[in-house]
Amino acid sequence: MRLSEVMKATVIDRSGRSLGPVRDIRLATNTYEVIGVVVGAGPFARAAHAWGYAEGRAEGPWLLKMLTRRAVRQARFAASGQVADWGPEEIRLNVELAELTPLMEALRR
Amino acid sequence: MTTVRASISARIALMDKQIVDRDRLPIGRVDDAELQLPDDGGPPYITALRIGAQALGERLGGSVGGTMAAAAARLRTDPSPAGLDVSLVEHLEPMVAVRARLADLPQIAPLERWLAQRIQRAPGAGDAPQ
Repeated sequence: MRLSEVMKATVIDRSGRSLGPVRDIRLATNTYEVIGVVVGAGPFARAAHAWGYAEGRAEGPWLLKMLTRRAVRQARFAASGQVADWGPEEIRLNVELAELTPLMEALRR
Repeated sequence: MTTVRASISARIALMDKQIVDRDRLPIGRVDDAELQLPDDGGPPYITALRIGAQALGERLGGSVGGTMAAAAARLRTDPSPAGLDVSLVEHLEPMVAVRARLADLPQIAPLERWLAQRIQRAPGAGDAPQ
């Protein structure tokens, strides 16, 4: 399985609802183990994740920050333990969307 | 266990990152990575970094990516894209550094090596300023 395949996969929650594509994969720095995936949908979600707004790495310009604000709020982190099946085309979770942690909150932990 | 805050983003900290060898010579970019799913059902982990036009073409997909990957594969004897075992990686920031020297990694950049050998043999190549 390739990392790029997982990056293109669609995330499905326990009830079968599509949560959108995988936006990012978080890796442990020492073991290179996948600790979870970031999922997000909606307008400007791709830009929010590709340019670092979703992680708080980018702060400006103001217009882009405003356009990506909604996608940043909607980004969720699914820990590896919440993944039932790793795909490759679909990543199936064993939890519902409401049980996932907002990405910004997960990054503070 | 690694916290989310201490983890790295594969999109930002790994994919397309410059790779340098032990002597800090650039040897390519991370075009993809190989993931292994453990038999015990644990989370996948990276086993190798994929480098080169074949890996990039396969990642891009479509007709352009397919053509790129097929052309690159024809120049290789090994059917799979060039790879670097992840155990060779020393650190990821600010660029991916590996513990080995490029000369000790024959699977990496074979076309560039082939061209370098021809250029070294060309008349006047020895007079080039360093």
